[in-house]
Amino acid sequence: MTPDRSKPGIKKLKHVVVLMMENRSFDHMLGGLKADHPEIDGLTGNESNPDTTGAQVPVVPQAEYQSQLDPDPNHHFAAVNLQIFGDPAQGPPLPPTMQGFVRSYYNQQQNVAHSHKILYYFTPDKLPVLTTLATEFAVFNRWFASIPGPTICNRAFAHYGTSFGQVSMNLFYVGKQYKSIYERLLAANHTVKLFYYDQASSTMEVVNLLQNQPSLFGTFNDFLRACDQNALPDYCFVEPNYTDHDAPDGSGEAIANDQHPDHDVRAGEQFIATVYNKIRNNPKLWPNTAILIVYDEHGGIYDHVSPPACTPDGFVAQPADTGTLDAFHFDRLGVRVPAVLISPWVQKGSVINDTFEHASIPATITDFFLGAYDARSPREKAASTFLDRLSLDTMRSDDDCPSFQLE
Amino acid sequence: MATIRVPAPPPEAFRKDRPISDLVKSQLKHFQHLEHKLQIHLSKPFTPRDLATEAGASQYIAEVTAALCSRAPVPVPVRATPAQRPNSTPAPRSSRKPAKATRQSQGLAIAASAGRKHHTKKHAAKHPKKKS
Repeated sequence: MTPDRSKPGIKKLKHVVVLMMENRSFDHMLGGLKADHPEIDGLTGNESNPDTTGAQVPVVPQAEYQSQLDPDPNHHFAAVNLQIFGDPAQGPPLPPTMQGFVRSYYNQQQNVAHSHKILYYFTPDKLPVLTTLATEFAVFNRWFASIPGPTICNRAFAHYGTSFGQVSMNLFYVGKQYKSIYERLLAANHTVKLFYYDQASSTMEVVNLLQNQPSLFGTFNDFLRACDQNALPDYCFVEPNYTDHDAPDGSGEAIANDQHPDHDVRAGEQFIATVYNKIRNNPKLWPNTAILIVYDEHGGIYDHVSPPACTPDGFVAQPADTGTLDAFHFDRLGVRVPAVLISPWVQKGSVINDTFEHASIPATITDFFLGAYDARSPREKAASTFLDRLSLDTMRSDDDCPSFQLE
Repeated sequence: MATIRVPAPPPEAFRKDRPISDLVKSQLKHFQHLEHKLQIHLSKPFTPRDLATEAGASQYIAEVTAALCSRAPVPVPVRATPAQRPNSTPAPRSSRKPAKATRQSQGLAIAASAGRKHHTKKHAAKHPKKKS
């Protein structure tokens, strides 16, 4: 919903920061919150999936930070069909029962016991950053990946409001009909930056944006410095570190903090906390910055909520590309992912029940910074926007907002 | 409200010899595509074996990223080109247009360029160098 511009939080808003993490489902990360927060659509403990022996396997709070989801669970289009509809070759009109996750993971190792781990979820105490932010600010009960598929096409929706017909990790060049959110903002003299972690991690938007507009990019240290100097661009998109590597500047080891299996989830918690603290602890930024933490897709990990239909995208992916019997018309969403909106103008403990997807990101940024803008994909035009949640009449005090200390 | 402590990963969580994921494999393919398309010259050749681990892949990615960042501004892409086969509805062809001059492209960007050396304290997720 378009925000009420008479609200003080919207009047003050100058910066929006989006941090997109990797490959974890809502239930896996936040499902454990339901026990103490019944309004959050997490897990009751009664959810289950059949394994390949026919036994019904329940969800259990036994997720570990690392070494559990190895190999990386399959989350290409056909595998996600199996996870959602129980058949890798077909989607609708089969019902989206969310009963195929264990079978899908079994296909990778033919190990029944190991396949059960796809149902494991974290207890909230193991994820103090994400769960605290979710309960202290606003958590989205219905934020879905844009495509029931892998990373790069899903991230494209956050940049362009469409993937231009892609459902895979293939190379693609953008079509001229829809500009990226960065191009739109720059044309209107707004400042904008994509911050990748460092040059050794770089970006997942190589072929279109980094190739043609390298000036759009900065490193995470640039982001931190921009915060310190009160020089944050109007819109910032932050990418995590995708690999363990020696830092290119010789400063030490840079551990992957994207939370992609099988990277250690604690590194991602620290990364999220670093972004939050940097803004939270700067009194010149905190009142006028909104932060969205969101995951690009579920990574093949269990979630109990069936993805809904959505406005068709105007593109079609053929069966040869989906790996199924059906063409895909971009008319249904992917699996649900964690998403949290942070601002001192957000009511503590907010739970948002409207449906969102990654096209909601350019939709929101365009709506706030540019207003009416027609040359957008049908999906983006139909996508919900989220800044209306900065609705408090009085800013929350420092004492009312969490802060984190990294160990 | 009390400050919340955030545990760090243990040192053994850092495994730069970990085989790369499908995600990084795809990222590599995209960089390799541009390396060949743009005829980028690297300081050393990278063999498939070099690129099999996260450490090796990240070295290659760093080199190509640095090369891309140092290139002069080029026209904004306006042509849809499916990567391998016509697998979806492509956008119509059109002539290329030069990129619009913006505040950022004119050097007034707020954040520093990606390739610039910096001296700020490293992010906490980075472990200090191990001492032998």
